[in-house]
Amino acid sequence: MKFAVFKIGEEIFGIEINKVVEILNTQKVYSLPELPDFLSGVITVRGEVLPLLDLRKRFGVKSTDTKELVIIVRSESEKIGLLVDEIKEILSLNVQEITTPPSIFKGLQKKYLTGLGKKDDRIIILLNIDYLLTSEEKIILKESERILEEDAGTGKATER
Amino acid sequence: MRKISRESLEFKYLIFVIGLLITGILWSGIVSFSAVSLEKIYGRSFQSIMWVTLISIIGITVVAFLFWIVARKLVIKPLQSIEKAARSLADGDLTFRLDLKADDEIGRTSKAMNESSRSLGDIFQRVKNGSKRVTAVAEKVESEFNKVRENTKLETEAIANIASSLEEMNSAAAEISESTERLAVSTEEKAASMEEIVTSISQVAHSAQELSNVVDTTSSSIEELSATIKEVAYKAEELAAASEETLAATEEISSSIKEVEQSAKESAMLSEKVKNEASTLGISSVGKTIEGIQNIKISFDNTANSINKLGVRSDEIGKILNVIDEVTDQTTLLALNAAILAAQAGEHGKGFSVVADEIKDLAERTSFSTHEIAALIQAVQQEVKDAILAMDEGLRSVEEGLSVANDAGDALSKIVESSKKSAEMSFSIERSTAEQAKTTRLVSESMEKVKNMVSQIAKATLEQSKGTLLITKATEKMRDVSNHVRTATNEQLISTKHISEAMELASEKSIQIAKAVNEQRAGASQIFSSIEKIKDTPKHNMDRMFSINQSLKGLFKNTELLTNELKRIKLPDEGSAGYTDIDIVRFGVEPVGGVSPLEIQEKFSPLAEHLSKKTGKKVVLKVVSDYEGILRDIEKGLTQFSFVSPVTYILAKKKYGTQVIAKALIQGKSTYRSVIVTKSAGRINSIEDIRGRKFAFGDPHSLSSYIAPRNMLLNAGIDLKDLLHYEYLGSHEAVADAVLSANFDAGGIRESEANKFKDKGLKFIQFSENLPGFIVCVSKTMPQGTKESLEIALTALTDTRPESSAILHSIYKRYSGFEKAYDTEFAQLESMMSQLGLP
Repeated sequence: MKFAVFKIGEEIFGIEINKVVEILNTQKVYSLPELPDFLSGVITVRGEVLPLLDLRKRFGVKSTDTKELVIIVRSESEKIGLLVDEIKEILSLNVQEITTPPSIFKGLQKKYLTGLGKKDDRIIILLNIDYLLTSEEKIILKESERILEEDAGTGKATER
Repeated sequence: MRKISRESLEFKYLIFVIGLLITGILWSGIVSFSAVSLEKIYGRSFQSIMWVTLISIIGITVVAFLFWIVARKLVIKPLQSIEKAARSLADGDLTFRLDLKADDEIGRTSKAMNESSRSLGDIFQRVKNGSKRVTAVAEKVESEFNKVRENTKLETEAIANIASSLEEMNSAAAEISESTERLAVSTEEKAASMEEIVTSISQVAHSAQELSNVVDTTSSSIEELSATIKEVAYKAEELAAASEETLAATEEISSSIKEVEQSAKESAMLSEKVKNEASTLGISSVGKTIEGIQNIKISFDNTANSINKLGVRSDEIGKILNVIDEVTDQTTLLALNAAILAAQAGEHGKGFSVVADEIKDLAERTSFSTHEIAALIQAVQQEVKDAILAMDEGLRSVEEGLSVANDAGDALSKIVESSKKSAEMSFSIERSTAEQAKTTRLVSESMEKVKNMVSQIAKATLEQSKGTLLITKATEKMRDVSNHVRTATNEQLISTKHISEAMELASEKSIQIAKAVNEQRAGASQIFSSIEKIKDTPKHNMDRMFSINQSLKGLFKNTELLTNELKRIKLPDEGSAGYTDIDIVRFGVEPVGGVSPLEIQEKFSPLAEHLSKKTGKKVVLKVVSDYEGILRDIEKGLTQFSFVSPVTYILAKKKYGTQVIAKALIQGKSTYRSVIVTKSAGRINSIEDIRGRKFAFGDPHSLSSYIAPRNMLLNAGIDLKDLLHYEYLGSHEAVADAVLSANFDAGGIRESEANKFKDKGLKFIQFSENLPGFIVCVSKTMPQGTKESLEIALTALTDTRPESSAILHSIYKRYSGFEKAYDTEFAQLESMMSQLGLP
């Protein structure tokens, strides 16, 4: 199995490659009123308005690196932008190299993790994108997208 | 006695009257007899009366003749002998003796005359002795004054006034003597004028009293003078001390000036050195430094420029690197996306995945290199920044260095400037100090001279005071002598008193003498005022001494004259007979060149004798002390002819109409010259050089030592005011000495006198025209016959005959004769005198 490996703070995360749409440089972020805290704003990628999720905030990791990258991932049918520090590589992991995660690892609940990858001395936290957002969050997100599209049509959206 | 004498005379007249009565009685008898006959013989009566008258006239004549014979025997003869005696008395001859035995008035008169002549003789003898003593004292005084004059040569003008006062005294004395003389003359006229002698004697006594008083006054004046001289001496000492101090101070100044001079020299040298070093070494090195620093600055500027450019380039490289970085990032992303896509493609994407990996590797390597380059560039930029900073600092230092160097240059220039100024100032100090030193030397020298002069003055004053002491003593003696004279005169007066009892005072004479005495008093008071002046005027000492000496000479001459006059009075014991009845002609002689009256008397006696012999008149010499005496004698008719200088002649001619008859010849010549002389070694070479100098004249009355030189100076445009100083030194010798001793720059004297000093260093600057010599002139009242006979007697004298030669050489050894002279010969002299404003 292949994973796109990225860094948030000191931690290394990996996302299954099939879930990755593309990697982008930092985009212009638009903030929206009444947006929940876990969302930084929205971005436009080739005409599509995508919510941008700041994983650093989500995982309570303080980032020192100013450099940012955006990974566009596909969760169920939705595309979401993830704001990360650095994308290192595309890593292939064997089944032996993937272990099941403990119930809580580094403050993350089991439902967010698909497993822990071990390559050399590094431990890569393999994220389960589909559980990254709660259903309530998904509804808010949908609502937000609709408002955003209306606003984009009237130009009410403001730059962050 | 007088009663008896009157009776006796009456007796003589009685005889005469009786005679007349007898004659008258006889005559009346005849007349009465004739009258009786007349009665009888009428008709012839008128004729008879005529006869009787005739006979009676004859008779009376005979009687009168007889009476005259008697009267002649008794009265006229004795009176004649008395008259004769009176005449000889008038001539000063007291040797007569009247031998009239008669016991009448005439006899007694003759006795009284004998007595009076004897007592007069005694008196004059005493006067003579007195005058001898006066002469001796005067001689002493003169010699002392000579000493004083030689020693001091300094006197005040005030004493010159004393001199003139003494002169006045002299003239007053002369007037007294004249009065006496006139007294004598007047006795010639009548025996009765003997009264005048008596009166005059009493006047003489009075005058002697006055003289004594004057001498007293003079004595006290001289004491005052002495005190003043002491004061002068004291002041001179003070002056000497002061000049000594001044001299010492001047020497101190001189030495400090030398120090200043030395310091100024050193300072000048140092300033010069500083100036040279500063200008040659300092300025050039500062200039080089500035140049070097400027070069450094330029290269610094260049370097900074280059470094700045380097910085800019590094920035540009940095920018390029950013672009590369961006491209690398993009490439990495693309490679990642490609790898993701390749992975998603599965087996199909495997090859693509490899390419994507390689691309990613390349991009990573590029990124790494880019980062390395960026780090390098950053380092370079940092270094460039540091370099620029360092450069800036360096530049600032360079600029500071430049400004410091400029300041140093300015300072050096200022140093050079001030060194120059200091050197100049030092030089000028040195120069002026040298001047100062020179001046100080001069001051010191003149102070030395002043000191010497002061000590000389002090010495002179000391000697002067000694001299004054001597004078005081001499005056004391003079006072004694004058007392003697007074006593003698008083005795005289007492002796003559009984003669003068019947006689009245001749008021005119007494007035004259009173006048003379007043003049004396005035003179005496002038002495007082003059002496007052002495304190304030310690100048013209030469003049003073000269004048005093002159007056003393005058005094001396006058005493001599007095002696001489006394000699003329023939005293009984000398016994001699002389002219009594023949005419007397008086011959005035002007003294020449300081010769004393006595000498003149001796010198001219042979001439007077000669003239007496030739003219048949008694020629009596009348010697005076100066030319004024000559003029006075001519004015008063005391002399009838005179031997005078041409200057005196001009004066006499103008005032009294005197006429020239003959001129004296010196070795055949009647003229001589005057010459202006100066020291041979002196700087005066022409008469014009005398302007502004000191000039010595002889006597202001002298033709050759005053009038002629003064005239020559005037012709050269030099008046008295153009001379620095001038003085009358009296004699020709004094003028020559003064010029030789450099007390005066030039002087005027007679050529013959100047020749005596030619070898001693006198130089002749200019000769005068020919000047007339001494002449003989007569008064206008002289009868033509006497004048002619005098003229013949004078022109007959020539030194070719031995007896004439003796007469001439007695006067002056170079006289060779006399020649007729005319007034026209003196026209030029007259104009010269009027040019000088002389009368």
